[in-house]
Amino acid sequence: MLQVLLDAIVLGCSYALMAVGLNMVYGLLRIIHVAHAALYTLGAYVGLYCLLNLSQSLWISLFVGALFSAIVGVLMYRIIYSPALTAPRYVPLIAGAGVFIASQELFRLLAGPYPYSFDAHFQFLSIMTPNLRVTETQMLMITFMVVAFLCLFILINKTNLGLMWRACTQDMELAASSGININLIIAINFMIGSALAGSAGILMALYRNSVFPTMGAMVSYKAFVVIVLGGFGSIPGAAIAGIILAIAESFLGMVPIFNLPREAIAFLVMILVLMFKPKGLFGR
Amino acid sequence: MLLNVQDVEIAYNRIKVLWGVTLCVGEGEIVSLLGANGAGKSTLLKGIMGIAPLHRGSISFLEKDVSKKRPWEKAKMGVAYIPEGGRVFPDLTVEENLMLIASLHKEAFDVKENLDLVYSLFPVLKERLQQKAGTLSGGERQMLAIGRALMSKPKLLLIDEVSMGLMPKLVSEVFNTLSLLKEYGISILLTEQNVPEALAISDRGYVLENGRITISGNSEELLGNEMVKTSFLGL
Amino acid sequence: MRRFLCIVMVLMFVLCGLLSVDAMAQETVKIGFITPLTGFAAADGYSSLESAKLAVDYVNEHGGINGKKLELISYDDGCQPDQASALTRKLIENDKVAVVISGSYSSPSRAAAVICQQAKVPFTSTYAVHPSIVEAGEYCHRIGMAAPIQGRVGGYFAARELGAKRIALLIMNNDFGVSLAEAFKETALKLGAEIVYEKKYPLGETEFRSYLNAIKAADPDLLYAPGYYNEAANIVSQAREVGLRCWLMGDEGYDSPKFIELAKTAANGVFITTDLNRDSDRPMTRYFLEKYKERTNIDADMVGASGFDAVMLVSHILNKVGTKADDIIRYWDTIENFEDCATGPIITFQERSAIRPMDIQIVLNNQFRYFYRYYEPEIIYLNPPSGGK
Ligand SMILES: Nc1ncnc2c1ncn2[C@@H]1O[C@H](COP(=O)(O)OP(=O)(O)OP(=O)(O)O)[C@@H](O)[C@H]1O
Ligand SMILES: [Mg+2]
Repeated sequence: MLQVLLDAIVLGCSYALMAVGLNMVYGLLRIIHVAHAALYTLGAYVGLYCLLNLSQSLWISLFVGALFSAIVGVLMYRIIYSPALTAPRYVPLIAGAGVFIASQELFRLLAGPYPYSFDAHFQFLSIMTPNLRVTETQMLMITFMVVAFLCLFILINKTNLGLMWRACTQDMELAASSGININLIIAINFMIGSALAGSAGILMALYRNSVFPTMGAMVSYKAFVVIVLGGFGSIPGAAIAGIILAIAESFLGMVPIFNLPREAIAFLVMILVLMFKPKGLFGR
Repeated sequence: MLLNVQDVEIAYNRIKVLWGVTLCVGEGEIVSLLGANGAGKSTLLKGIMGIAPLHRGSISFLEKDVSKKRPWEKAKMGVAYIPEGGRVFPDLTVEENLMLIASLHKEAFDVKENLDLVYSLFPVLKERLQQKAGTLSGGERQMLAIGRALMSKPKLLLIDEVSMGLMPKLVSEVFNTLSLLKEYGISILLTEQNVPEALAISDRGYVLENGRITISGNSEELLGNEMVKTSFLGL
Repeated sequence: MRRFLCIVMVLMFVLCGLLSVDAMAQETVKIGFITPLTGFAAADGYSSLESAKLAVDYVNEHGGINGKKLELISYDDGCQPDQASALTRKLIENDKVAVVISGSYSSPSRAAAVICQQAKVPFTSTYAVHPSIVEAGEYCHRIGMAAPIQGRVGGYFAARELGAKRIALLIMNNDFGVSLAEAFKETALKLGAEIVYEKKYPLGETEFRSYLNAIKAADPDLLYAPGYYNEAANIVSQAREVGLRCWLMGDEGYDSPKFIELAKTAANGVFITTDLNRDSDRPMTRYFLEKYKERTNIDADMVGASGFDAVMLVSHILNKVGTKADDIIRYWDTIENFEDCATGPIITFQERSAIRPMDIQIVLNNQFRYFYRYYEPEIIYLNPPSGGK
C-alpha cells in the first residue's frame, strides 16, 4: 500500500509540474495554453541531445533542457498568443492546439519517429527496504517537485516580483497603469512555467527511459484534468490536485472489479468535479 | 505645459469614439472633463494613459512626446490613473496594494513620506492594512484607489468619476482632499458627473460631446455657460 | 503577336502531351501502400515503408515484374481509418494501382480493406492482426499473423510449454491487444490455466506500477501483456522494479530492437510470439536484416519484415499472373510454401490469412534469440485442416 502510494506521488509530481505552468498562464491571461505539452517534449529532446552530445551529466542536461523550453515558451507567447489575446478565447485555444500537433510532427521530422532511450547516470539518494523502494529517479522527482514548488511559493508570496505577478492576475490593465511592465511579467511567467514543463519532460524521460515525438499527448490530457480538479488559475491547487489525481488513478486502478483504464478514471474524476464543484477543489 | 493632447482620435473596433480632441493641463492645475454618458470621457483618460491606442494625434507630457509610450512607462514618468469604480487589486491586502506602488517607484521617492501623506488623508486605511482590498466598502475602496495613486507621488493624476457610488458627505470630503493635493504639486485631470462640486475645485474645464470638445474655459465661465447650465446643472 | 503566343502555347501543350505519352510508354506496375508517417504510429509506418521500398528495390534489381519496373505509391494515413479510406480510394481511382498494401494498424487497415473489396482490387494487410480485416471479402488478405493464431500460440506456450497455472493479463485496449488477449485466454483456459488478474490499459499509458503491484499480490506464474513495445518496455521494467517474479510474455508488438533499448536489462527473459527469427540463416531473412540496417541505420523489426514480405509476395504473384484482379486473387489462394520472405516461410493461406510456423523468441543478453517453434497444424492454422496432423 505504502509502495503504491509512493509510486502514485511520483507520478503525481509529473502531472503537477505540467499543470502548474498551465495554471500560471491561465491565471494571467485567461487562455488555455494547449501548446504547453510541446515544451515537455522539447525539454526531453533537448535534454537528450545534451546528454548524447555535450556532457554526460544529468544536471547539465536538465538545466539546458529547462532553459531551452523556457526560451521557446516565451517565443510561443510572443508569436502565437500575444497577437491572439484580443480575439475571442477559442482563437488562442485553436492556435495552441495547432502548435502542439505541429510540434509533434516537427520532433518526428528532426529526430525520427522512434523512441530514444534516455540513459543518464547520476548519483542520488534512494531507499531500498523490503517494504518500500524509492529509486534514485523517483527520489529525484519528488525532491525536484518539492524544491520547485517551495521556490515558486516563496517567489509568489514573499518577493516583489511575486506581488507584481499577483497584481497582474487580478487586474492586468490596472497593473499596467500602476507602472508594472506587464510584458515582462508575462514573459517571466511563461519562462517559469515552460522551464517547469521542460524539466518535467526530462525527468519523465529519465523515469521512463524513453523520448518520443508524442510523449506530450497523455500528460497534456492529464494536466487539463488536474487544473479542472485543482481550480483554474490556482497554483497550490495544481500541485495538490496533480498528486490527488495520481493517487486516485492508482488506487482505483487496483480495485479488480473496477475495470476502467487509468485514463477513464481521470476523466471520470474531472466530470465529477465539474458536476459537484465546478470551480475545482481549490478554486475561488 | 504638463500635458498636451493634440487632435486625438480613438476608435473601438473601427468605430470612432473620439474625434480630434485637443486639450491641455498646466502645472499645478485641476482640470475637469465634463460630458454626458457615453461622450468619451473615460476613453480619453485611457488614451492619455496609453491603455486605449491612439488612431491619430499625439500626446506630450513634460514636453516629451509620449504617444507611443506604454502605460507602465508613463506611470514611471509621473502619470497616475484612477479608473472608474474604485478599482484596486481585490486579493491583495490594503498594505500590499499600497506597497506595490511604492516598490515600483522607490528610486524616486521616500516611501515613508508618501505613506504618511496617504494615512493623513485617509486615516481609515491605516486601520485596515491587513484586510483584503476586495472586502473593503465602496467608499474605502475609492480611498484606497486614490491612496494607491498617491503612493507614486505623481505629477499628473487622471481620475475617472471619483465620486461614483459615494455618499454625498464623502463626495465633498474626497473633493476636499483632491484640492489639497494641489499643494503637493500634483496636477489633476478629472471626469465627473457631479458638475458643481467638480467645477468648485477646478481651475478650468472642458465639455465633451459625442467625442468632440465643444466648450472650454475656466470654471466660472463654464458655470455661467447656458449650455452647461441646462445640460449638467439642471437649471 | 498575341496569335503567335497562342500558337506557342498550343505547341507546348501538344509537346507536353506527347512527352507524357512517351513517359507512359515505359510502363510500370504500380502497387499502393498506406502507412502512418505522422502521429503516434509514425515509427511503425517508417519501418513499414522503408522495408517495402527495400523489397521494391530487390524486385527491380531482379528483373522487375515481367520486365516492367515495380513502382510503389505510398500515402500517409496518420493511422486514421477515415484517412485510410480516402487514400485507398485515391490509390485505386487516381493512381490505378494493381494491389493495395496496408502498412498500418488494424482499424485503418480494416477501413482500407472495405474500400478495396468494393472496388474489387486485391488488398493485403501486413502486420495488422484483427480478424475482421480479411472478413471484408475475398479480395482481402493478410501477410502477418492473425490474432487468433498468435494468441493461441502464446496460450500454448504459456500453459503447455511453460506450464503456467496462474496467469495474469495486462491488455492494451485496442484491436490489437484485445484480439490477442481473447485468443490467448481461450487457449490458456482450455489447457487448464486460471486467469488470476485481468486489466486493460490505454495506448500511450506509461505508468503501470499500481497494476503491477496488484498483479504481484495475485501471485501469477506468468504475465501476458499484449501491446506495443513502447508500453511494453515500461511494463517490463516496472514489473522488475516492483519485484514481480514470474514469466513475462508478450507478442510481435514487442519485436523491435527499441524494446530492448528502452527496457534495458529488464527485457532479458521476456518471451514473445513472433514470425521474424533473427537467428535464422534463410537467405531472405539475412538479406532483409542486413539491407535494412544499411538503409536506415536502425535494426529491423517485425513490422518492417511484414512490409517487406507483403511486397515480395505481391510481386511474386504479379510476376506469375499479371495485374488482373481476379487472376491475382485466384492464384493467391493457391500459394504454397512461399520462401522469398524475411519472416518464416508462408506455408499457405487459410481464410486469406498467411499460415506459417510460429516462433517463440526470448530476450537474452539484450538480444532477441530463437527459443521454440510451432509447426503443429492445430496450433498454427486458423482452422486446423481436418484429418488431424
Ligand atoms: N471597450 C469598448 N469597446 C467598444 N466600445 C466601447 C468600449 N469602451 C467604450 N466604448 C464606447 O465608447 C463610447 C465612449 O465610452 P466612454 O466610456 O468613454 O464614455 P464616458 O464618457 O466615460 O461615459 P460615462 O459617463 O457613462 O462613463 C461609448 O459609446 C461606449 O459604448
Ligand atoms: Mg466613463
